[in-house]
Amino acid sequence: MATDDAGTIDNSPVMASASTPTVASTNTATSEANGDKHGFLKLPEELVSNIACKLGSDDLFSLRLTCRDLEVKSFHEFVHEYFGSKCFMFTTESLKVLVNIAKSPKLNHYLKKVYITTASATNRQVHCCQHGNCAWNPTVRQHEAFTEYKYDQERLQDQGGDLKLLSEAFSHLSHLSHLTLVDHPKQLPVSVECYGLRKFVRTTGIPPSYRPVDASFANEYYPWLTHVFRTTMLAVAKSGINTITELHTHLNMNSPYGLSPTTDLQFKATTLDQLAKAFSNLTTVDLCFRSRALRAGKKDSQEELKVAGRSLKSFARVLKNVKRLTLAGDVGQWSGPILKSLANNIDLSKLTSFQLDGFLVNVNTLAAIVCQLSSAQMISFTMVEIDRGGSWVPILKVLEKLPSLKHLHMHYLQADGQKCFFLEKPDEEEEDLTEPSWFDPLTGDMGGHDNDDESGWYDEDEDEEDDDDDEDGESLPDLLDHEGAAQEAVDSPMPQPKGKKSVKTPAQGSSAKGNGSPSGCLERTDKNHRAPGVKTGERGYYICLEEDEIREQLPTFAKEYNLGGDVMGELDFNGLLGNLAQMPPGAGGNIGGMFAMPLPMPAQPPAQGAGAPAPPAGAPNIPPVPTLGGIISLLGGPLPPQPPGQNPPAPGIPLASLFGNPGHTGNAPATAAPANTTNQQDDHEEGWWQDSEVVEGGGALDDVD
Amino acid sequence: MASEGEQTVKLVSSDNVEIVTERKVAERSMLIKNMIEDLGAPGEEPIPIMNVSEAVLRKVLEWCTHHKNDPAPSQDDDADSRKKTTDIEDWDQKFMQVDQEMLFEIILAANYMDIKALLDVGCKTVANMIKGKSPEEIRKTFNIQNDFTPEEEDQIRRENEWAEDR
Repeated sequence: MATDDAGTIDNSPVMASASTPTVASTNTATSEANGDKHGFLKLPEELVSNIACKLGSDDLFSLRLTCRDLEVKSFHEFVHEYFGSKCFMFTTESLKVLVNIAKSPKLNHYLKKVYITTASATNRQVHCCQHGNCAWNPTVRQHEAFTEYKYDQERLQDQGGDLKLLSEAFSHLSHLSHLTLVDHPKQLPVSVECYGLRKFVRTTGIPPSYRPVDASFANEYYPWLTHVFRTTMLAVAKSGINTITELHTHLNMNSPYGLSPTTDLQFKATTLDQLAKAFSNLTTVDLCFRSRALRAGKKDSQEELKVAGRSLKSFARVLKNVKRLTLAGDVGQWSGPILKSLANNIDLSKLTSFQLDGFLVNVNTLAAIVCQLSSAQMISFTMVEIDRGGSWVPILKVLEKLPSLKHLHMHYLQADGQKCFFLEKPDEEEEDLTEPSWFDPLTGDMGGHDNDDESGWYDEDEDEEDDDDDEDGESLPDLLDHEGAAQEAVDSPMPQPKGKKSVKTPAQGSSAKGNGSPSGCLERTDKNHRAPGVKTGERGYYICLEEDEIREQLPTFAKEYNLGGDVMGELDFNGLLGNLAQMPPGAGGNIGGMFAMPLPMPAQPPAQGAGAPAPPAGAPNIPPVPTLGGIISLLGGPLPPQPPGQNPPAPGIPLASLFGNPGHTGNAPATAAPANTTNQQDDHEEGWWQDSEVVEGGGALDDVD
Repeated sequence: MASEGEQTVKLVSSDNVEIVTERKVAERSMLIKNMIEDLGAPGEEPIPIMNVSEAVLRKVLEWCTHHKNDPAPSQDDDADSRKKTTDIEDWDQKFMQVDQEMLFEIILAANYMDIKALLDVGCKTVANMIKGKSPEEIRKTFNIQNDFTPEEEDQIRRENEWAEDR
């Protein structure tokens, strides 16, 4: 397997010398013999390319082997289709092909997007087939092939072969711009081939393991995930490249199988220096974290959380030039502190896009983050839960003041285990149940969109172009003026943008294109902001606002904010919850926040679900609009102190002033534990990584809740 | 004055043969359509089709006549033409049953005259002639000489292997 032709490192002189001359000599021959050409060879490159694009892989490969002329003329199609984006797995064969491509002067500058998959041959799969009751009944040959893959991966890991191959490859990829870690082929774009996967399945009769099918296999998976991610990062550090602009971790968002800040982000100081240099052009990052089982096989503890905080703090150096940041979590009880640790060490005021998915966070922390997003044009919250009795209303007020904000998503938000609806529920008689929804769940058709964007996402390039466009800022308080902004933000009752006589209700709509999204965002559902597929109730549970809609509708959302039923109370997991009993308590309360609200739920009258407060008579489902005092009480305590010396003063809304709590300013002492060198040393001694990486020198742990 | 649908235009082939055809037929070619719009007096000035011989031009106009009432190509059609579909309508298949020299001349003419639908049919026809064949069979089909050195051929084979695992 490992000695297969394709996977053998190509060091033949032909490799380097013949490939380029092939093109050159053929071009010469083409021009010299142009007059003699007949038939197929008369066609220019663009037409051969047009024919080549209609061919499947086998036919294109055959065409390339017919003659020099057609090889040259079909090369553009060949290289763009098969080498622009490519996925590799941690096997010798797959990584050697990456090295071969990287070392080919003919191919290497076309490979711009590299995906690395966590695919592995696991002991569990071997044991499963040996003990019966397994769907995989391999032949002897298949079993041997599988075992060979397993040993190959173990050898690579033990001897550092994967790191060597990856760093060698990266060092030759001068045009590499995107690096993505995926934990399943489904996370790959359709056009991206994972090299080695097809052969794995063909020879073993079973796909490799990507991620645990349930939590009981996590202890086997986490060390492998850690190895794959850290090896990839170390390879980038050692390669000396600095061309990567985007780093993604497309890990399963619905299960808690993300990166562990404790083990996966902890690098030596020298490695971090190399990483900071290698990622100096990094502008777009998405990271998926887990907040449980931070160290595989060990019980989570406050000490682990502190190590996580230190790791995040040191790793944040690598993200210093990031403009678009997406963070995904598992809604675990420590997802908030993890978020806070990272956010405290990033200059949030530089971000043009900020997206959060799956965090259980303190309202103070979240408000402090949002206050600093003064350049953010796109903000997205999905399945974010405010804990400890907090409310989303203060966050809405801060969002309303952000000068650059042009696009806002708030999907499936929660507070204290209950759904948050940003529009009041109308009386049953008043609700127009026949009202057409823009989103047809059967066809996926979004009515009213004139210019639907296939990607479904905001055009980030447009974001950059519009960086200086700050028209809204003129009508809003100067956020750099802390005192003024704070006063304006809190005291003014629902300020309206200039020139707007009245705030339109959501039902009236405000988009220039009727009910549709101005940018064609596919996250837009209906004017009641219901989740896709939900026809009644649950108004304001799936929000997409753009441009002026943000300032027009957020005050309404703050007024009509109400809590619905317990998000877990309506779910029937057919006994699945039993598997989660080991999880610590957190979001969702009764199952430790394992699930927040991943799916659209059937309509449930707000304030009628379990645990919901009884609505006041005559005003069902409408909680009182928080006043300044109300905000403070909703915040549930003192404001989060800014850890001294961690974050430079960034322009943004001054949170302390915003909530009228001058007693808690950025100069307040940190609430978290002090520097803990002893613990860090313990972690180091117990750390599985101590052979290859040493924990960075300890710093004050002042960024953990 | 004749309506636009009844107007005729004079085309002159590369071998200096004048062919008169309906304006609507000729305007399947974006090249001719743009020239007519630029000249402003259709039918009066002969339009030179420099790179297309009489035989090929007549064949192309035969296709244009059959497809004169087809809807104008959209941007989606352009994108579709790059897809890996090689289905061809029956009439077009029969139309393309010509000797190879004529087939490639039609493709070149369609490209020059900017008739995307005809170009697409031509390229699909060639793609169908390639499908399922080995390199040697492709060479035989199109009368191509293998001019690779063994080392070059090995190199191409390796690149093919790196493109897709088996």
